[in-house]
Amino acid sequence: MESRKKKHEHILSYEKILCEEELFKHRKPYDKTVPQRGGDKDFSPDDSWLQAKRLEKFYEERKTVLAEPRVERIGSLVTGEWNPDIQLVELHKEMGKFWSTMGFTDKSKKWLYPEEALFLMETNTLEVWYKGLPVSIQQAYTEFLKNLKFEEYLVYAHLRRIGYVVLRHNGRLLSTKYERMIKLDKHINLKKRKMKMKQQSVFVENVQQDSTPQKKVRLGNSTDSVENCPVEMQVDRDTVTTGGLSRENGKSCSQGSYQLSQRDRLNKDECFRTICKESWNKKEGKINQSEDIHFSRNKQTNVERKTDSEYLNEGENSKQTKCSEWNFEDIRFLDIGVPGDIQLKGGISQKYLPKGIPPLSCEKIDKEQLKQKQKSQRRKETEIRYGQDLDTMDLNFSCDVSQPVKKVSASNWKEYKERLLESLEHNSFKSPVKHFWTDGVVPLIRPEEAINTFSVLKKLQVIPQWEGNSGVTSNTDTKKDFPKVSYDVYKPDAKFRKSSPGVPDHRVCIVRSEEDPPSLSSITSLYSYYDDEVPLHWAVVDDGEIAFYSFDNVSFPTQIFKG
Amino acid sequence: MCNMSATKPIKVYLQNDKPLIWSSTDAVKIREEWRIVGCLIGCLPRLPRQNNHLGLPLQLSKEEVTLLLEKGAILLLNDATGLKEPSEKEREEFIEYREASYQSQVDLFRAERKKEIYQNMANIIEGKKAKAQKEEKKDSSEATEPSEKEEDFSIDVDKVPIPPIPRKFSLVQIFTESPYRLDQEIPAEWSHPESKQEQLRYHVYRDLWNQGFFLSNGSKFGGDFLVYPGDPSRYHSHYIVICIPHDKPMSALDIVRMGRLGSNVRKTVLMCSQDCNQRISYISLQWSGIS
Repeated sequence: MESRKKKHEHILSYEKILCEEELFKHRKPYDKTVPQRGGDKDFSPDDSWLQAKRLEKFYEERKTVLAEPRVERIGSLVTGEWNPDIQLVELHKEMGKFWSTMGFTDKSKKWLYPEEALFLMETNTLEVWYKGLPVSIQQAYTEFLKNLKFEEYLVYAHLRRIGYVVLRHNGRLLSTKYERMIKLDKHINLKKRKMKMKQQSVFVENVQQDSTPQKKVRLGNSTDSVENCPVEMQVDRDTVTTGGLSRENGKSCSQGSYQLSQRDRLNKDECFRTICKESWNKKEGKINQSEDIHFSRNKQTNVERKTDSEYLNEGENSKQTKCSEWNFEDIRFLDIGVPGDIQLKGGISQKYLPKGIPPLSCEKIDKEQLKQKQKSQRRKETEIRYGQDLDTMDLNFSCDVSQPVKKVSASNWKEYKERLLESLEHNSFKSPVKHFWTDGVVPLIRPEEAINTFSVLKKLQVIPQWEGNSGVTSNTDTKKDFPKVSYDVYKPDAKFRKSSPGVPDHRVCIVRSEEDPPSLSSITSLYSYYDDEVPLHWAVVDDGEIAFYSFDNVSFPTQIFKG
Repeated sequence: MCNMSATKPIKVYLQNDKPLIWSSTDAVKIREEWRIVGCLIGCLPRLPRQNNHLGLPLQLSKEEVTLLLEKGAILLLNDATGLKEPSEKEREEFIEYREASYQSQVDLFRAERKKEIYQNMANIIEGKKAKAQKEEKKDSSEATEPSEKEEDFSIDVDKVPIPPIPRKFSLVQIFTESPYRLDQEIPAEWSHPESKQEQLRYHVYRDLWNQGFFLSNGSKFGGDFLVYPGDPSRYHSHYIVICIPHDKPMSALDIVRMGRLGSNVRKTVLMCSQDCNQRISYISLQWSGIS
């Protein structure tokens, strides 16, 4: 660097800045090679000329590489303004590929987190200004990392340099494993989920009440668990399970995840219109003649055909009105299970029959006669099959198995399953070997417990094996040493969307080497808190050196011995 | 031993409790003259998106800083480069600087272009001749005189038009080291070593450094330091230093652990401790079988 006379009243110390000739020289990067790492090393120093020469060459190279300045054209630099009150960089315009994985929009302005801004400065993409002067990287290391640990930035930069997409940690996923398996989380409308979440006050991180620019977190696939909601709410929801196959629902799903062709959508719409206001009175088995069954044919010509764009714009609003048209309590489905109960009074009128079928005569079908007929038919069949009348055979079990399971009522699926399990345990079937259970030594299992091999083998374990995902998080002691997960890491992917990043590929926890390694209780509470299969890594930073460690669950198989 | 240079001390800035060196000349000096390795933690300007070679700043470990302070080689400064609102005059000065830089870059570019034209003048003239001859073949009715053409092809270098260069092509520098002048430099307080373990580590570090070795961070090998006979880039380390308090009881398992550690990577484990007379004692561990 050329040195100039230091002008005392000026803000810039010119000896530290490149002069124009130097800048001009750097307009084209002429050397993109980096010194070889490792390579041929000698064992110990001997005073040979060769070693001295090699060392000198290394020092020269290092000097050149370290002294190289960061020179860029103004046109290829993005500019931003540092706002120290909220500790964010406001972007003036976006340019380049980084916006797809960094930054967020709030109040129609684009913002960058300090670690993102610092990283972009170091990669010669961004120039940050503060009140008319550009911020140097040295200043940024002090200013931008005020609320961030130094080690956190080092790990962030380390992962970003090798290409990973690193975002601030977003809380755990609220969708269950089952939902992810059937890809239900992708279908559900995110906005509706957020509203429901606020109502139920589920634990959400990153929510602040002040007016600072906030990344509106759509917790991606952290959708509300379907199981936990009362049944009535489920019905109203825009889910696939409640027949959300209508045109509107198909459109409003998250981008690219559920695409029906236009034709399919229309066909299904038509199907829905055919199941409409009918009321078959189940108890009486009568057709209520006062109400008509509307079999509406494909009335597409009458219906106003909406263009695709209109549907896109309508979005959730149209859906809400469509759903509320149905009165689910009034829809009755014909009970076709018991043929003997059908009693047709006065025959069926012509209009309900398809064309081409002659009108039925008004016969009164005798219930009793029908039953007798069926019975004799069955008897004939069994005689042919078994050679004797089934009625005379005693086919009863020695115990009475006709006892039905006591009816269990619950307000949602999860509760129902739990209560069913409980009732199974408590149900005492009449057993012909009850005397086995009264003694000191009891049988291992009951017949109804032999559901699968696993449940049988489980009984064999004297010391039950701890399962990592036992869901024990209520222990308040663990809150103290609950390690903080800093980042969600995603693999680089063209399909990555900032607005719904999805399930992270890794999670990273950052510790210094001086700190103790995590205790078993903190590890177990972490693994049960994040009960998805995302690997969790600990980044240990030691004076600039970073190493990654992770703890994996190892489960030993239960030994089954023959004989 | 080390070469004590009489020039001004190296400035080390204490930012977020980490000692950092931002000047490239200082980073070079501290390795070549003071045998301090440190750790580079920033992106390399030449190739920012890789992790094999990092660039400035250079982070120093606590022991390194204490040692350098003792030797008077560095000046540990509080980071007063924090952002402050510049005055109107200062803002103007910067705008002037950018403008001047832009103008002189334009001049430089023009000069460069003229040089190029001058160097390739012969080729340009030939090209023009060939082009004219082609055109001549098309309109053969016109009579031409070769002598006239010779004059037409000479180029006046100074009169060649060069298109104006828009401002967005001007080059600027993203400052790694802060270019702004500081009114005063506030020395930082340094309280290392504090605990007994830190003191032990520092004394061991100092003792080994005084013997002429290069020392670096040992966490990659499960120890406190790695000891190199020469510059770490040219030689492998010979010892892994583990600092142990003098009166700490050790079990056979600990010895086995350390022995395995060293033998797997072909380095000697040095167990270092400091006795009551403040002398450092070294015990090396060699793994050998009974054969």
